[in-house]
Amino acid sequence: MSPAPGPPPAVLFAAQFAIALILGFEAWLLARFLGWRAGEARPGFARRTWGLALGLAVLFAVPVALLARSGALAPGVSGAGMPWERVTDDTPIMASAHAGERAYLNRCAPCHLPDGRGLPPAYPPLIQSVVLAGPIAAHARVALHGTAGLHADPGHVHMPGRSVMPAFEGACSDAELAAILTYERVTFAAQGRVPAADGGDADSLRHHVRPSDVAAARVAGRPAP
Amino acid sequence: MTPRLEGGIPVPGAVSVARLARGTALAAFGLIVLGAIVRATGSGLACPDWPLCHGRVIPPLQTQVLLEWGHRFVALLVSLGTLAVAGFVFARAPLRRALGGLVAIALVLLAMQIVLGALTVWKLLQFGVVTWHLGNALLFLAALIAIAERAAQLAEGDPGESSADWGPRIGLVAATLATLLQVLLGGLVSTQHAGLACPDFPGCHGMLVPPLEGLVGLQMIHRYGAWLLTALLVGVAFGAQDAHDPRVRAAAAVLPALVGLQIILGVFNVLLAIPVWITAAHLATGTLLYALLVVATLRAFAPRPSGEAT
Repeated sequence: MSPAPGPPPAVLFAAQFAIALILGFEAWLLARFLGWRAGEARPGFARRTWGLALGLAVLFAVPVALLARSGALAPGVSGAGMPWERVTDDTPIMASAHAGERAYLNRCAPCHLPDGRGLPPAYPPLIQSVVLAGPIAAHARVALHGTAGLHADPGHVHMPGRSVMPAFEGACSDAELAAILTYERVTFAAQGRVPAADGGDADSLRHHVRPSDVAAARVAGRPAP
Repeated sequence: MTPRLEGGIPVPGAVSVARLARGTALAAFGLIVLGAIVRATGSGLACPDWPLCHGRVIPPLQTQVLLEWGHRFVALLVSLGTLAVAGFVFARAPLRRALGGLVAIALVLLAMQIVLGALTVWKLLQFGVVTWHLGNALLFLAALIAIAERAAQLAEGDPGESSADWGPRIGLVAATLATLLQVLLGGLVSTQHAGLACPDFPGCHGMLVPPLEGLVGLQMIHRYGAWLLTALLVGVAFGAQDAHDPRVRAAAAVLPALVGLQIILGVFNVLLAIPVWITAAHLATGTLLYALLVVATLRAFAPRPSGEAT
């Protein structure tokens, strides 16, 4: 869960400031072309716009190039690159959890928050969750099918104000869900007991969710109440 | 539709429609950029229900939730602006005759856009729905711009002669359609998570022409499309630089600068692993190029006031 070492805040701020200027410039340009000001474009309009665009490009390129040189810019949370799609049954647990972090930010963090605190009562916290500490099959079942049908399960207690979790069986592959579930179990279920290295110790046996586990849960489906 | 100008007399109320439609078009542009930020931050499901957010009108204060909720809030403002334009136009017979068709198109596109927005949530951000949501937004923006332009002409009320200046027109129409396609292709790259399918530039994993399959194919087609579009836009800008309409000339003059900015943003988007703000600026610049081309195309087709010097 520790974020990659970020770029210097000043450089990051400069880059974001430059991009904000670009967006403002574009809104201004569009307003001009929609005839916001009375009268047609005056002479020199194109030359000034060229100058503005060029100045903005330079203003943008300098901090961004510095960012690129620092090499520390963490990939965004947009999920592209999909390192989790390369997760297989043989991927070591920490590699799988690392790939799952970005997928988690993309799929789960909107509700459960990046640090797993959730937004109670609508979205339960994942930290110290009994589902994450329980059997892998039950964990995978919640992720695959959501909680829409849970009220039919015997013994299910509905918490007041709790929202319904959507089903991700159609949206995510086995590999992505395996990476996400591994990340969740390693990071949230056992705070302070993260396995130090890859390997077959007791912790990784409990925490490591493999794509085949998700596939098995997919086949098993939701048990009839 | 055939222009029906009222015999050279300014149509009453057209100025108000032009102002209102302009403001709504600008808000719609901002809404498209906000939509790109929602997409790039993965906030699309931050409100997992629709139209309420977390079952409430005012949602919990958390960044991603606020982005998604803000997108819906600005969408509400744009909808109200469009309805105001429609109400104003349909209440006045001369405006209704001249603008009714365009306003009806805008209303249909708005209705589709609202349904598509709900579907993106209900279908859990299925990529086809999200891309269609973007495509429909661009068509809706074009409709608003067309209303603003047409209303501005009605306000001037000078029909003049429609010139037979066909060269720039064909080029501008082709450039507008090609830009629309390229923006949609970029939307597909984002929704399919193909943004980093090729982590290097200009080649893909060191190959200039990799096998065009799957996500790599999608990413590379977006890049090849960008090179072709650059050539087309620079050519059109060159061809339109001495058009009659001053705004077409201005568009021709700034197009190459914007294309350059867009290429820089696209390249840094790949090299920096798609940071949210660059992704948003990339879509904003693409949308701006498209909007300027729509304005220029409409101006190139508009009847020229007879008194204007060429």
